[in-house]
Amino acid sequence: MFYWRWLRNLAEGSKTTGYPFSEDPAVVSRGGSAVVHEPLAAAGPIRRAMAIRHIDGGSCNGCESELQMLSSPDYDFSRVGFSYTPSPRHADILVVTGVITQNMADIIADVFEGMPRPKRVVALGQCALSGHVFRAAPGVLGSLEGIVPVTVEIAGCPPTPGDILKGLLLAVDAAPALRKEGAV
Amino acid sequence: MEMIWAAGQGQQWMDHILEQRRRGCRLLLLAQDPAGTVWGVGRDLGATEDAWWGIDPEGGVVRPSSAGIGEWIHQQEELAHQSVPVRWDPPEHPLRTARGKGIFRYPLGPVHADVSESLRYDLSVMGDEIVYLALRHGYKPRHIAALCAGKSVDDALVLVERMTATSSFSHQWAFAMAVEQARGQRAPEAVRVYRSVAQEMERLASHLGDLATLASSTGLPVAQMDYLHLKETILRWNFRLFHDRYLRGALIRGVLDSAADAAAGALIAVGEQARSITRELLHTPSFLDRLVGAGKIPAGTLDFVRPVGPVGRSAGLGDDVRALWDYGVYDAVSFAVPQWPNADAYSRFMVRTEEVSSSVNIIRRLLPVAPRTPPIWPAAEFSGPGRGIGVVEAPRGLLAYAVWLTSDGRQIEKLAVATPSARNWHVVPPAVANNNILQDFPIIDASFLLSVAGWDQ
Repeated sequence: MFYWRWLRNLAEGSKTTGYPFSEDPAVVSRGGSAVVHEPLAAAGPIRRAMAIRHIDGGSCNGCESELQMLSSPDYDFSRVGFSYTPSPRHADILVVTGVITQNMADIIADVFEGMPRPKRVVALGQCALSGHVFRAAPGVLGSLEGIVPVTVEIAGCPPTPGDILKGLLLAVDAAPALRKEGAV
Repeated sequence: MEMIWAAGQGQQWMDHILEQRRRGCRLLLLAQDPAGTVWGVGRDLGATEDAWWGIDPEGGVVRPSSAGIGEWIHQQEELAHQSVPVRWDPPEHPLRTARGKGIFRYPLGPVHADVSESLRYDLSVMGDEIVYLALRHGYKPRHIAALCAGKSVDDALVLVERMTATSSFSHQWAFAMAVEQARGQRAPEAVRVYRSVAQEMERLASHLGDLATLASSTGLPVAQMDYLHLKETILRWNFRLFHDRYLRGALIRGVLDSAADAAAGALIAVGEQARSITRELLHTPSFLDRLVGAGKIPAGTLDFVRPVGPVGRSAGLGDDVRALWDYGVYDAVSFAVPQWPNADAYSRFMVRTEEVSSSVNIIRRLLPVAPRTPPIWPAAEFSGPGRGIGVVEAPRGLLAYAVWLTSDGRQIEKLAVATPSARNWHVVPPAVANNNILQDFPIIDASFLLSVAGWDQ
């Protein structure tokens, strides 16, 4: 039965990193800088217990793989209040990955429209920022411009879980806390 | 070996391919060369040379899927949608629908719960039972093969390694193998050892992630988290050994980091922990009850599509490219190819868990002999233009590339790809609509866990 494993895990202690609030050599940051666009105050206060809705706008599944790692015991993003939600109606943050194809543009806009306010959009990965190497492909828009207002851009191909975590925290007014810890 | 048929001889072309298929020849891909000839490519067991069957498409070509060949459905669609389309005969693939009193259509996607790729499932249900499933893809094509045309080999490599992140290295290797064959080269043994290590690391990360998703779909978060922790351990080792968590650029790099000396022990521990999680899952009735018998692929579908990779090996089709045509150094490191006969979710789970163990064993044996100094490869000298085929066993199965190089051998004139996901997705609808109820659907889907990025290339 699986309970034994559960008890053993409890006895072994936490595997979770303290990053980005403390340095961890095992957590890779590739300098995937996070750019904050919108003045945070203007978009309304948004703080803790944030529900994230993800949409794939044409990705290679690398960003998805790293997003899944955020819920692993090694990063455990629920310790800082994040979780994934199945419905846009319950979402606070929309995370968009991939090159943004023409076919997904309206769907992304619809999902954003369905989210209650206040809300934020995170463009995740080089493809969502600029189309990356697929910019010239037919049917590829290459950015979220004109579709949804982007709050935070997280660069990287794919961005590492450490970089994603840092970027998500910036999207939820956590910049002062990160600054206090010397993380940004 | 090359055979070519003139326009109007489509039926003879198709009869020949069907005969070869009956004989046991494996069909790799279907592609159109820069001059317009449509080529079917196959390879016999143990053969070192590919069989090329060409046809002049003027006036239409017999549609392989209508003749009973399901391996090439995706490439047929691609060829029918290019700027000068190939005209297939019959022009339409008959679409089936489910209609009747009490049938309710349940659209799901392209936006799903949790983190997943964009794909739409139209589930037709009668009460709880799923009677029909239609998949709609095409939300996210990046047209990678078309983008590669006219690019240098190095620039094209950057594109193909981004086709599917979880099998990035397999794409790099299959592409490089096709280019090397077109240039009349074969990579030296040291290079093949290095590539084999990288590919098995990729398989480990991919399979552990798939197992985590399957555990999650049955409501077992402890097993899910344990598998995810192991996946993260492998991704961190990937970064230390190859300087990228998803092995991007690893093929060009060609040399392991010096951290490799410390890796073997940690990787063996990962293998042991994975076995221990599996053991406990096999003693968890709530897990087994959901998997055994769920999502069984019907025999007719198996014969039509002949799925590859873990999906094929869990359905009595024992193909593993590593064993069929050794392209690395796999013959030197004997490894088991798991075979499970039942074609259900449980068999797919068992095949993946056994492959985790065999990948760890392969890496353990190859790490000490993998190059620590960069081999001089690719060689600067190569013979003129040509076409080449590269076939590898990616984490999800047989992955084939065909390239045509320009006369100087430096640029891609044309590129065609057959990914395992584009082929295996076609077995998912019949497997789901096979005496399963709606509540089984997430588990069946997680037991296949194919890549949408590999389908919408």
